Amino acid sequence: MLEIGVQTKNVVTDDNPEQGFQMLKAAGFTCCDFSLNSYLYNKDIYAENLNGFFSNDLGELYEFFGAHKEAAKNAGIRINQMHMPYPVYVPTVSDEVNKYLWDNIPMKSMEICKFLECPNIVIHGLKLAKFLGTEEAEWEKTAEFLESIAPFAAANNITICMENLYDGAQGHLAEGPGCDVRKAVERIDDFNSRYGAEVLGFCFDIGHANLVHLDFYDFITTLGPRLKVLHLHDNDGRYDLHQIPFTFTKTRENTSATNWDGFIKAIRDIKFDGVLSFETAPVLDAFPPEMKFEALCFINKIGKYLAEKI
Amino acid sequence: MEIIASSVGFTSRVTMLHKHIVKAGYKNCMFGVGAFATDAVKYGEDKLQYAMEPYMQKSKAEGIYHTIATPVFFGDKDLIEMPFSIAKNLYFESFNIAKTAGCSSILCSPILFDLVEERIILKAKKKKNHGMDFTKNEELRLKELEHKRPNKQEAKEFYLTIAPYAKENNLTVLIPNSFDYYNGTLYRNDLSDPYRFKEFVEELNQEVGAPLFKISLDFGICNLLGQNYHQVLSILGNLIGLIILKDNDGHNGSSLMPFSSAIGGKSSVDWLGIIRGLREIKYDSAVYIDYMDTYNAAPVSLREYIVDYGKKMADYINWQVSMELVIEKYQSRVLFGAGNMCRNYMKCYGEQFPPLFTCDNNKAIWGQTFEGLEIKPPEALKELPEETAIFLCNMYYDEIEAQLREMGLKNPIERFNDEYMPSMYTDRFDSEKREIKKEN
Repeated sequence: MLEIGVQTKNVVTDDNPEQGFQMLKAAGFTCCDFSLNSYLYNKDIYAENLNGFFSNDLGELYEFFGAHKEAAKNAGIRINQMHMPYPVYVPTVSDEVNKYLWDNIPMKSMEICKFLECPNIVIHGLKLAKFLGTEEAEWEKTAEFLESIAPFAAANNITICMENLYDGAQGHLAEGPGCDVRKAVERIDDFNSRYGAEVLGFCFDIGHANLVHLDFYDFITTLGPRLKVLHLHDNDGRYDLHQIPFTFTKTRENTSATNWDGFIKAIRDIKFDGVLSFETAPVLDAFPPEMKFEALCFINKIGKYLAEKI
Repeated sequence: MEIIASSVGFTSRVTMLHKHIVKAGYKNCMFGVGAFATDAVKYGEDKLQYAMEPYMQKSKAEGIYHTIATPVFFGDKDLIEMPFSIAKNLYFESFNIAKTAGCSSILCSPILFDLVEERIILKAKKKKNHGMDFTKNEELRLKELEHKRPNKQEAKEFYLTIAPYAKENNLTVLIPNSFDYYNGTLYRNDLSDPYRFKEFVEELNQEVGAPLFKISLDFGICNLLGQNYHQVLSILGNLIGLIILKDNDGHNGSSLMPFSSAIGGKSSVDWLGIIRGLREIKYDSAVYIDYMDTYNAAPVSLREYIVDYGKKMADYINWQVSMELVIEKYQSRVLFGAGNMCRNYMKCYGEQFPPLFTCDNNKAIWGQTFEGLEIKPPEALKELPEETAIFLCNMYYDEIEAQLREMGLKNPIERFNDEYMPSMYTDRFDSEKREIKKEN
């Protein structure tokens, strides 16, 4: 049966990572999605409010994350995937900020990924189509970013996973980078063929896919073995809420409005052998702190349900 | 592009919409065969071709013509009351009627006739005894049928069924984009994902041995599905035979006047992507701007102005889409204006279509160089050969055009616009301070 994982954000704290990883273990998880992006949030990047975390040199970063690594091991929690901070380039911020991001985020994130013995790192493609004019021109810039870390990935058996994203469209959301699965497949195959290794893969985010009405079955089956990691969560179709699967309904029959059936069938049909990983940190904000453990247990139970169906 | 107005058919009295459409200056109207399905026609007591005669005479007199038809079919309320066989026959008769009206295309959504008939029978039964003898299984079946949408194979079979009728009447069949429905959520399917849609239509054309099928792209549906318009247009390209432009808020399937669904002063529709995409594929087929919800929601006394505004909107969109074709038309050109619009022109078109110089009414900057162009006084335009076009790079188009004509200039004067550029700067030029500022 597939393993079940969950985001470390809102569970594992820097002052006592042992406690957080033990909680994950007790809740039934065997894997986690390490929220490296929590150390420099996108809203801070857009506000040009860099916190200097990634100014630390590698030695300092290894020392910082040493406790997390130890704690994960002690709890028997495998760090299956992590999320690089994003974005690594913003066209409307200062050159100084973009230089800082470009020089510090990608490679240091990769080094941390290696240090934590994590095989998959999720990245966000750059959102530049509005300024550059075409999706192809946007991809060229993203590819430049990927080329800067692909050799390291190849040398260290790490797969960089592109994720399907959305873009704001005044009152609703529209597809962003990574939503054209046919192009994603071509690009992944191109990278992997040039590097002779699986340096590039895909992270299917079902919540994002739901917001832009993607056909889950078509998307996942087209990806096939290029699908490496998952971000599982649910939403109301309007906002990226990152809530528990099956929460939302839209009809009087109160049946789940998200096509989890389509997802299950697709994952089964491609014989996915990765981790059912939940990106549900906001659930732990929504529930009272006293119920954090119960919420995690419930998320784990849903994971087991999905795994059985698959 | 060929701009098409709403269907305005009538059988006896001219409708208000018809009057508004004619007054606004539209010439091409959708031909909705359903407008002629009177009660007498529904019960087999009259024929469509007779019912449409008054309209055909009036539209001919007014110079209105038709290129795209929609076949007649009925809502459940009508279907319960009329013989289903008549409804079905009228549908297929629509093809011949469309030809009679001079149409070259017909817009057909896939219909599962057998399932529709089953649904109507169940609804009629439920209605008959106020549901008292309607079983639980029948209730479930009815719910299932109400949400049933054709799958790829069913849609294909439908289109192959109507192909002979289209061929016989020299009509291109326009297949509209659509979606799947899952418990209240819309998802993309074979008739909305652009790659799959393209494949579907190409397979159909291969099967019938002719380019019989094209696509009708409803941008309202694209917006509901969160699609990237530019990408969709780029992929579908010349398979598109009709574009239906409309606004909605991305959540509800309204047909609103373009640019009217807005939040925080910005449209809910990615018009930048639409214009870029239409320019990229050099779209020059039919465009129908559907703002019928705006029209019907407006007070009756204001509806005429809605239609008039709709025509202006259509002309504006046509102007924007054809802008690059206009630039390409001229062998030589100059610009008028040394601000942002000039800067944006030079960014996107300066290399391929270089201007000789630019002008500006601001004498303080005469003699300076801006974006590689010398800024000359307007008087310098008098030295130009008459065939050199003057592109106005300033929003005060009317005033500047009047100024140039008063100078006695006979050159072509074109209005350039930078609201939908193929690529954009991340900063903006302040024309007053003559400096560049980063934009958020």
